Amino acid sequence: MNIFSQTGFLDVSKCAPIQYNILSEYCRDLMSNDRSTQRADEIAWKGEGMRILLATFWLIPHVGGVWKFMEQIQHRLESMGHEVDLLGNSPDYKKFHIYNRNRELSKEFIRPFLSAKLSKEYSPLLHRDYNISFYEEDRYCMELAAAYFGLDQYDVIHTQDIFSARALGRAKPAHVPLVAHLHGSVATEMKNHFRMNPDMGVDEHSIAWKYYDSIEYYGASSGNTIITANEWQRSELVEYFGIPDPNIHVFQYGLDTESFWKRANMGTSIERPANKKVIIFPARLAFVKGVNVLISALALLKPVRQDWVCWIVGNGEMRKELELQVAGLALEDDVLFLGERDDVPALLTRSDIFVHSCIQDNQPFSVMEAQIAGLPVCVSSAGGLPEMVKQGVTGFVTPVNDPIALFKQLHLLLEDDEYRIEIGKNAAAWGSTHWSLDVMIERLLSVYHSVITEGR
Amino acid sequence: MANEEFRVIGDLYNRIFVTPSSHIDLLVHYNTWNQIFANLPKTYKLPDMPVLLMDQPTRGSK
Repeated sequence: MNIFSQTGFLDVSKCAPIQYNILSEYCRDLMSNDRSTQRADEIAWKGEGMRILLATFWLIPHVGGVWKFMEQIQHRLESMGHEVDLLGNSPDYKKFHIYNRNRELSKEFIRPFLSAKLSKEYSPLLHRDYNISFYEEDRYCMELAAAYFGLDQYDVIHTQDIFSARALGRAKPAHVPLVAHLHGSVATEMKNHFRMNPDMGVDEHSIAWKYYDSIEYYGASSGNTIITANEWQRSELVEYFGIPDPNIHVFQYGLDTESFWKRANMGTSIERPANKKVIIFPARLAFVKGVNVLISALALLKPVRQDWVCWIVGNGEMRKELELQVAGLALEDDVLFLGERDDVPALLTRSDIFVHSCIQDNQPFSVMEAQIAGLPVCVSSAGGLPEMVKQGVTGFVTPVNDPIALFKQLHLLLEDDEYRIEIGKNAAAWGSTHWSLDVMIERLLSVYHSVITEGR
Repeated sequence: MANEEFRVIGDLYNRIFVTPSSHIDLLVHYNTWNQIFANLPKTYKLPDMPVLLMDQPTRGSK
């Protein structure tokens, strides 16, 4: 039966009722593709504002780099006339929400149904390990919540991690392009975690270990294109995960310097001690941040010179252990734990040397802010950090977990005021152009336009 | 927020599961699930088998 009329339009009178839903979906897809082409043309040729979904599997709002990144680009894109929605897990993990539109879907509406339909009896692969069932079931909630909110309304989806990339890659209509922005490697971080905690009993033969490789690969492969902030992560994706190189754009993050200086100028209640230099390390107090490496370096520094104090800014699960380390090395008067604070920009302007001796990191905002503030930075060689510093010009890179090398750099910078100030000035000059938010937004918009027009 | 009371048997949405199963006592919120179901791609399935089978063509990270 020819269900299309001679003019090519669907002849509903010839459709059996049972077929109607299928045909409706078919027509909806046709119309949807047509709308997509029209929108892409409008955006490409008229410069019209886009409807953009920024999405993460992690909590929003949240104290952390991904949320800060999302907020920054939301504000800038909205100021340019684009509409931006922010999708993520709620801070209590009980729902997924579009935070800035007050739209939400409680997991209570999804979980019991999924638990029955995906029980061990029907989905044994899902229940082979807690790591798998935990992340997969929550990701499925995200997929269903995204479908509930409707993804058809967006011109482009921009995800911020492998889980949300896989989730929205599966739940979105085919014509809506997806840009997968990766801010580090979940698989690498989890493997480091397992290595550092052998009591967990997870090694390279374990199913949990293999799961993180799998979700990293399929997450990274879910978009039309990938963005990374540095060459380190690009090479990880190409070398270890077989992601084709032409699919990957590499450009650094940007920093809203206007907002940074506004906050810096608000001041802080913390006074720097007279006749002492301040070494500052703002970070979450987690093992991966390597705060213990700095404390070990300071223990070497103290017998040599006492013209310094160290401010550790942040909280985390390692705080007690780090305080014990400080006490054990008799550094209580020299190393101060300031806790989590919202005046970090002002604290940076009252400091002399910035340290980030982490075990693993991508492109932390804290290093960018320190450079904008004009501090010489001492970073470890982990992840993307070496790409952030010109050795001996804007700061220093020392090997991961090497307190002796860090001690030598700190001693050098404290010894020579002129040299330290010069390195800080170089960092500020380089940082002000390299970390330009305008440049990053321009590159981001170029990626958006290319995936939208490619999809026509 | 979906707070409607009208519920239907969840088996109506069995299409999205790799292994459909029957749970006649399990009710779901009609408006919520109808909206989810209508917006999902026709090929959408749970669980996500490629990820669970771990048969990606590469060796993974260090």
